[in-house]
Amino acid sequence: MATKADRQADSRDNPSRAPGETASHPAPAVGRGKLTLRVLGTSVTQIPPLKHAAERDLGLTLEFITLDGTEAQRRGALAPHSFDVYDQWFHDLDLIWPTGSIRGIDIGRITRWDQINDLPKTGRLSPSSTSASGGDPSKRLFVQLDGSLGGTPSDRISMVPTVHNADSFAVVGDQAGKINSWGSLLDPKWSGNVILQRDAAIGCLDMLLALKARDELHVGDMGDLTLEEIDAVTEKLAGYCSMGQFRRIWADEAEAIAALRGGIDLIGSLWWSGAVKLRRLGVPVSMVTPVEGFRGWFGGMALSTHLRGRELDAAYDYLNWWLDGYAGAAMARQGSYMSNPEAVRQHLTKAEWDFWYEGKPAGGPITDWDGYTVYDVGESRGGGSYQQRIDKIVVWDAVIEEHNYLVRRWENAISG
Amino acid sequence: MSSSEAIPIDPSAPRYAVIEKLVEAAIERGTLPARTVLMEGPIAKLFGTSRTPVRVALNSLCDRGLLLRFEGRGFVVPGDGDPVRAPLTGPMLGLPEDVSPDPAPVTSQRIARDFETVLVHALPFGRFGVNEQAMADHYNVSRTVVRELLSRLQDRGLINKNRRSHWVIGPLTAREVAQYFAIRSKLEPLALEDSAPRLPARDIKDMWGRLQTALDQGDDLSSDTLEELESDMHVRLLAGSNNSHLLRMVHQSQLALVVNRVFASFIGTGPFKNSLREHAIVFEFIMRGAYEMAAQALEEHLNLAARRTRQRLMTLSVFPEPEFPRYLVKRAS
Repeated sequence: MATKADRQADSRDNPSRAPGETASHPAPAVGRGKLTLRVLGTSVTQIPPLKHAAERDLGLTLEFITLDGTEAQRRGALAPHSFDVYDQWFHDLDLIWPTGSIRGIDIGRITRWDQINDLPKTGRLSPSSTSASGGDPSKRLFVQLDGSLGGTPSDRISMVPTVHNADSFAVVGDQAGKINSWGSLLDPKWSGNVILQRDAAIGCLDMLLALKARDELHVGDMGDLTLEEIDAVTEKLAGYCSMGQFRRIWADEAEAIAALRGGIDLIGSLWWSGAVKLRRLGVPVSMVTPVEGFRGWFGGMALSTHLRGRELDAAYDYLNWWLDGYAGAAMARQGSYMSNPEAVRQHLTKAEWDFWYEGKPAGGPITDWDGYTVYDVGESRGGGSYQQRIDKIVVWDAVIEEHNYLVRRWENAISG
Repeated sequence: MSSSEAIPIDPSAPRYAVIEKLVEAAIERGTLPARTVLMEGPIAKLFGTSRTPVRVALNSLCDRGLLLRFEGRGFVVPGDGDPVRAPLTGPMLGLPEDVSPDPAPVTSQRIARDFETVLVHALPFGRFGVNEQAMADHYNVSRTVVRELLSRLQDRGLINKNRRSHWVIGPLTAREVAQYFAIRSKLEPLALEDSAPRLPARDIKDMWGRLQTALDQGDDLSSDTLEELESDMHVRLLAGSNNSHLLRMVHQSQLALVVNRVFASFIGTGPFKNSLREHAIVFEFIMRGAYEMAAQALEEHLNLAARRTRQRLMTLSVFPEPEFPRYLVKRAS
């Protein structure tokens, strides 16, 4: 394992990691006294080095309000005055936008808008790719004439597309190489050693992918379940819960990490950021490349409806700062992709770029954002390049039309 | 500031905002001293309101650091010393002395109205069982009265008996919202074409005036005003029809409107602006005597409203569940 000192020494050889020197955003509009910007988000993007770097680059104070996904959604919907920037996921815009708690973003003020690739704009990374069902970011990106969200391009957007990934589940222990199907989550062989995520907009898809792989339940469209399909999947969930299949059903990443940290031969839902944190702790965890495909998610940053004047300018500065590449490099070092990869590339070593974005075996030790080695020479992340992994997304995290019904059935199934 | 001074309150503000402002002012001027314990129930009683707006107000004050959570139940005004559980009075919250809970007599009509309101507001929050005895106790009436009421609501499809013959309600689903709106989008235009030509011009003018005032007012309508405008469009404008069967069916198909009421009680009325502009289109045609076009505009309004209402139902999944009377018992399925 590399030490923190190694990481710092390394950064001297790699000037792109010095945040203060590299930001290419325009001069911040906050020079008339220090502002505090409150950012509501999750543990995925709210990491200390980004807070410090953004504060230094933008001359403002950042207050990170870090909650689990569901709590962040509740606050996002009900308390717009308690935050300035909403750093979350495109799929939960379906819950947030109708409340009017976030405002449209003028793409003329997003300096690197043209560098953002086609994935969030069209739902496909290249014309030959196929679209996935569920919460496709491109279908909730643009503000339409009637104020709703849709896929027809306009000059205002709901969120600046940022971090995203093709996700699956983790395996702790030496069984990693033998697992290649979502079906393992429900395999009796793993009974009592599986963890599942609680957020129904994500965990339900993990269940559906597993049930489909095991030929137990096939639904018409995972991103738009009928009431009968919801009844079926939640009955299956309740059944597996009562049989003791799950060791833990987790609401936030810290719980998932705690559950996987202690044991060997465990599998289950995990985000890439969690996998990297576990590897840093020395836990032998791998993310599976399922033959059935990945579950995708797309993050973004939105503006609270109350922002005006200097606060609004500062919030735009923060959004633009996220696209400068430094933040994207930190996200790459925990396994996630950024919507404008070329800017990120300037802030990664060639070995890092090849490992995280090209999917190649590590040419040297690969470190996390804090400088700790998380992959050794010769190891690879699995699943191939950015394009290959994204093209294997079969469904995006989704808030379905019957989400209110799903959530209540889902929670009942879990609590027995 | 002395406790007798009135706190300036915007009458059009949502109820939770009024409560939040008054509690904040009471903390500032010290009539709610440090360490006072605040519970939702007594405050709701003093304001003569349900617990929902009180909860929203107290949570917001807590988010802003003006209140602290207290042992998982209620809140406490920050400060040193032991918590004080003194009974709250109106003047402590800046309310006049004589405000007291509604002393209206218990009548079967009032029970029916109250029960229906409770029941409809519970619908989006899941499946509930109705306990006859607890309900009889709650309203201080016999179980026969309760059964009769429940049977009437069963006829209307609001409440059902499950396989074990227990009364159950909910949950309201997006599918049902779509179905109710599909019915409304055909029935209400029919009623409008029949009714609008018969309505006195003065009534139309009054409704138009109320709508214009609201549209000029911006995003700060009270939920009562919104309710009034909804009634103008979907009740008063149709009431001139002499087809009583049609009007009864129209009324019974308006159940899904609860989604919008619950939504407005948490979020305020800002997001309803689009809907009110569509009301104006309907009225524009009515005032020109173009009743067929008005009916078409109403149908299109209802189609658009159906989509918005389904989206709002999705949002309700993250709303904190209001407290309901004890006769409503949450059920798994």
